[in-house]
Parts: sequence; structure tokens; C-alpha cells
Amino acid sequence: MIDTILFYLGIGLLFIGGVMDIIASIGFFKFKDFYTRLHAATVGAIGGGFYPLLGVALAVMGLDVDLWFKAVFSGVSLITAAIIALGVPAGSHILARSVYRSREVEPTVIADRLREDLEGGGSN
Amino acid sequence: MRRAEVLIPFAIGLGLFALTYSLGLLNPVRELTSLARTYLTIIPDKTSTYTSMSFEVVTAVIWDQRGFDTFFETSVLFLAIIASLSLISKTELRNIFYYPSTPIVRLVSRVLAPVIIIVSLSVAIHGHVTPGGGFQGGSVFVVAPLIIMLAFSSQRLGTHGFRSERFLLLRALGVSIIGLAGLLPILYSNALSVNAYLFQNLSKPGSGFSYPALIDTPLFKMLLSGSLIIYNIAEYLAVLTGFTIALYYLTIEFEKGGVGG
Repeated sequence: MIDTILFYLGIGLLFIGGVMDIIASIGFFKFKDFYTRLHAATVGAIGGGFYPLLGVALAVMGLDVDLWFKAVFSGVSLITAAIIALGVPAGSHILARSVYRSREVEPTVIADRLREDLEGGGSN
Repeated sequence: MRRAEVLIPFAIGLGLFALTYSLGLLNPVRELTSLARTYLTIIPDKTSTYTSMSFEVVTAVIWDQRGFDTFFETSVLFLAIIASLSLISKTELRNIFYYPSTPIVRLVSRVLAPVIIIVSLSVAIHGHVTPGGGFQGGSVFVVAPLIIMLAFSSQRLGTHGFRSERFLLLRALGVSIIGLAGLLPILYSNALSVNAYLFQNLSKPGSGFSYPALIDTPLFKMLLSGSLIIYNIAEYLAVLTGFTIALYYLTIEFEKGGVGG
């Protein structure tokens, strides 16, 4: 019973990951701005990388195989999911920050308080 | 969205599909060539006389069947690193002004760097059983010093025991181990007057030298695949040190503004 629930939960997470990847790729082409495109790419990395790996870990735990097989596969999947969950936000953060600070792309906003603060303070 | 933006990717995709489908039609009988069948059946087969005792056929072909070739590839990389170091090693390290990165990036890179090193070790040492090997493991390792250098500065590597002379020595050691392990069958054959050839792994008919392939004790079993594990570890050492030194000097040039302008 618990095996079946785990298996279908994992398959459901895999399906959600595929849908997120499609949404992210559509958004990546439809958005006009660098920052919104970065948002779409991060949706693809977290939704299309983190959730499917969790799903693989859960689905393998529900399979009818040896314990060492379950431990190795779900362990590798969980570690990789943790690496993605740590690395992707840091990477997109530093991308957006460096592009903003170097004035490579100006965001299309009405009021930009951060820029006012940066130029008023005189640091960096 | 303009019509061309949709039509061009669609046409490329259709063309690729047609190409792959027609290639499949050209050779309808899906059979391996005789050479591929020989390698795939003989190398993992323990009972065969030409076995390499390795589950990973690619690593076995690279280091056993064509080990001499791979040694020269590693030597070319070694000489390229030496040559580039002789060009840029005279640089002054003073007066470098460096913006440190944000706390988020510094924390994440400090957490991820040890994980990357452990993954690279497992890829390299397990290279004769699972996909991977020395070069792949070394290339994975290089990501760890690179993110440390980008998040902190190039001088931060020194606090983790990095000295470029020490790494150059390790790199020379790795290449020397590969050469010596390839030369050992010849020395053995001269000393004991049996037949052996350069870069020999396990014993073949008419050639008596053999590296230990399997440690079989009552407590544990360990598959060594002869010289494959030695070559993998030595190549791991050579590749990680070479790429780390190259990226270290490139990062110093970058911090001085020599690359970005």
C-alpha cells in the first residue's frame, strides 16, 4: 500500500517537472527582458530539475527491488536535488546582481529605488 | 512573434527528423560491427583469455587496448600547461583590487566545493566499474577551485594548501606514474626473461606479465582491473592539477583586468 502511494507520488512529481520545463521554455522565448527570462530559466532549473529528482527518489523507494538498490538510487537523487536547490538560486542571484550593477541591462520599471540608493550612497 | 521565428526552428527540427529517419532506413539490420562485438563481449568476460576484467568497456579500451596513445595525449596536455606557465608566471601579484562576492554566493560555494571534490573522487576511483575515469573525475574536480576563486579571490586557494609549485610537482608525479606503470612490464620481462609488451595489463597467451586484477579475501572482494585503477588515479592527479594551475593563473590575469579590459 505505502509502496504504491510512494510510486505514484514520485511519478506525479516527475510529471510536474515535465510540465514546469515546458512552461519555462515557453516563457524563455516569450519574455522580452533579461530579468524575466532569468526568472523563466530558474523555474525550469528548480521545477524541471529539483522536483523530478525528488520524484525519482520516491518512485525508487516504492519499487520491488533490493534495499541496497533503493538506498543507492534514492540517495544519489536526493544529494543531486540538494545540490541543485543550493546552487541554482545562488547562480541566478549573482547573474542578476552582476548584470544590474554593471548596467548591462536596465530593468523596465517605473521607479528604481535600488539604483537611487546606490548612486546616492556613492559606494560601489 | 513573427512567422519566421516559428518557421525556422520548425524547419530545422523537421530536417533533423528526416535525416535521422533516413539514416535509420539505410541500415535496417541493427547489428553491431564485428570489432564492436568483439570488444563488448571479450572485455567484461572473466573466462576469456583477452579479458580486461572491467565492466566499463570505454575505460578498458582507453587504458588497456590503446594505453600508449592515451599516454601521449596526457603528455601533450602536460607540455601545454608547462608552456603556458612559462609565459605568464612572471606576473606581479601586488596591487590587485578585488570586489568580494555576496554572502549568498560565498556560503553556497563553501558548502558545495567539498561535495564536488568527493563526487570527482568517486568518478575517478570507480572508473573501471561505472562510467567515468581519471580525466572525467579531474575535470569535475576543477569546478571546486574555480567556484572558490570566483566567490572569494584567487589568493583564497592558498589557505586551503594550494601552491602552484606543489601542484606542478603533483602533475609531474601523475604523468610519471602513468609512464612507469606502462614501462613496468618491459622491466619485468628483462629481469625474468619472459615476454611482455609496453602498457600491458593482464597476461595474454605468449606474454606472461600481469597486474593484479582481483583482490579476493574471505573478508572482502575488490576489483582492481589490473593497471586500470592505477592509470585512472594517476590521470586524475595529472588532470586536476594541470587544469587548476591553468585556471589559477587565468583568474589572476582576470583580477588584474588583463582579460576583461
